[in-house]
Amino acid sequence: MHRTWAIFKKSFYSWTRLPVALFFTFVFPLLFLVVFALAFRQGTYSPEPTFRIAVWNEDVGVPQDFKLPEARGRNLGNLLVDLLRHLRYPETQKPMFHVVEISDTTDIARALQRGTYDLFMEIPETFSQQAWKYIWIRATSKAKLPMSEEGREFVPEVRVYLRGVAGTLEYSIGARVVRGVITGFLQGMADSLSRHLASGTRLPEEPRIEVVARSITPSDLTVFDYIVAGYFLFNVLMLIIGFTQSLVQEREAGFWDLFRLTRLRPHEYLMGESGVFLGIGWLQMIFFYLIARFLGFHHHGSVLHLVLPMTLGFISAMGLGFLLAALITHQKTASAVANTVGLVLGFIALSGSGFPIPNPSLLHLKGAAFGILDFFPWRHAAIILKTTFVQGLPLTSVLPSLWILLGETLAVLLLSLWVFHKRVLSRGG
Amino acid sequence: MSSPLFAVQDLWKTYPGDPPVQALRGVSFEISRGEVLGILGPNGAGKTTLIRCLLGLLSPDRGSIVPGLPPSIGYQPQESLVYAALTPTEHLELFGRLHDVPSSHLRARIPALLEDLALTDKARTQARKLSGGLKRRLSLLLALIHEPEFLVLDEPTSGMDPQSRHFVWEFLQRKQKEGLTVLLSTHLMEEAQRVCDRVAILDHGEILDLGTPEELIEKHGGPTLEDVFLHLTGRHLRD
Repeated sequence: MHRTWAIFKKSFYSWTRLPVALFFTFVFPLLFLVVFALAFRQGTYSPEPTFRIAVWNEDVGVPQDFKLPEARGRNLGNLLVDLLRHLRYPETQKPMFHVVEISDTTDIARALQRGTYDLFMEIPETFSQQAWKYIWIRATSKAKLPMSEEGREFVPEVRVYLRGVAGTLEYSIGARVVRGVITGFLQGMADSLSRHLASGTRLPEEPRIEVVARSITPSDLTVFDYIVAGYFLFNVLMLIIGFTQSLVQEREAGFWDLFRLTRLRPHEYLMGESGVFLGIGWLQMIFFYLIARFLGFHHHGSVLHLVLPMTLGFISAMGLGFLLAALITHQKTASAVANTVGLVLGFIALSGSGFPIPNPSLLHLKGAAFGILDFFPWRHAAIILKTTFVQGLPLTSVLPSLWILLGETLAVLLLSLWVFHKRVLSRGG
Repeated sequence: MSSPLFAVQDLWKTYPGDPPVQALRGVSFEISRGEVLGILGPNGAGKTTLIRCLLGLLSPDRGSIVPGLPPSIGYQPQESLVYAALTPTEHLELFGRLHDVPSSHLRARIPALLEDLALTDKARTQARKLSGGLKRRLSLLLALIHEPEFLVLDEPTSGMDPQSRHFVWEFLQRKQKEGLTVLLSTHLMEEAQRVCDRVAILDHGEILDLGTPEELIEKHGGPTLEDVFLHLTGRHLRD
């Protein structure tokens, strides 16, 4: 233990007595924290996208010979467009759709490719007729009224055509939302009609469609609150840069050769160095937490929910640092590689808080899709932090991420220890 | 001279490459207890490879050390390996702890060692503020903190002024009298003549000759050891 402690003291002094290291560990990141606070602490966090949808409404309305006199002449296509235009997210009142009605579709494919629109929706001319038939049959059935022969033979088929760029998040999510809206629209109208049929009252001039939704997460969280959680992890990954560089610098200078002539064992060296990394990381995190609180950061979960993912994040980052140090022999290479790895992974850790990025799936296992970002432990640490620490949801709500984070942390650590032991601190290498 | 401490037998080492570099070609010698053996050689002769093989930091392709190296070895590398942020006292504590020197022993030994190499005044100065010569002396102390039986020095006085060199040579002579066995690699003929009991002249991975400085001078007819060295290794530039 005294050898581990000696290594710990050596690294601790080397780090804390280096003004540049202290500056980049505490002061420089603090400047960003202040900037984030000034920029993002006002207003609540709104991850809901507004889908830009081009609509070509060809609907001619309900024909005059329709059975229900009140429905005749009504244009459900217009009603649907109007509904899309006024749909808002319940918590933030942000519009769900930005609707642009078009009358010329010749250039629509290019507009979708260019991203002018996320979706294109064509409402065919028979939409009202088909929709009313569906509504009428459903309402009749629900009101337990005798169904006509025509109704019994009718197979409900209400068509709306959607187009978009396959593979984009906007298309896949937007199309689902539109489908849900149309289904809700038709069912809502049918339910409304069934009540009128059952009670014998007249159908109102325009049926009302209501969308009821409730968020399961607190609505008082700001963008800054989410960014702070991601920023904690970002700084863990930034520490990898300094950590890896100091290890490789020590190796390149020849200190590891001197250590090999002492009684120091590889695991003692790794434990001593890890202790400093963890210690500095914890100090940095506590410091940033207190400053962030002062700047207006608030969270709904317990501080213990900060401890668990951050500790696992630290350990996996440290494992990566050891791995890099074992594989890289020159400080200049280490600097370039560690900077690249740290920064890229840093942005991945931040993604989903301030800067969502697409995560195309690579692998499907037991019905669950895994994207490339899901293979990085810090991604899961960020998910756990935001869900439990920031939003205050229970740990059980992020169990898959927790298991993945635990498994990956263990794997990275064991791999790095094995490579380190094999390549670096054994004699005769 | 007392009994042999160990013998190096037929050591070979080739670095892969195009073409491969034969750094050691059948090096054999013996070193006795309490002896200072100098390894003299031009740049690229194989001195550092020989030292690294001896220390077990590099695996030789062939050859052996009989009966094996002593368990306690001190090593001062060619570069002064010190941590910029640590003081000489902290350095000595670090390496003392890594060599399992008991704390009570360290407390007494550190001031004595600092005194021996005139570093007491700088005991609490961070190494970044020490001159090159002081760092060199500190790195020599680090090799001695655990009182090794066998000391390997790779150009111990390079970068030192003449005063410091003489001071270190006197220190090494005192250590030798205390029974320390030393293998010393050097470029300095004066150092070899002044400190070494015997000298091995190494070039192209082979020992060209081995003997006391006086024996070598007499054998090769050179008025000085430097003349012998140039006679055996040639006058062409190596770098």
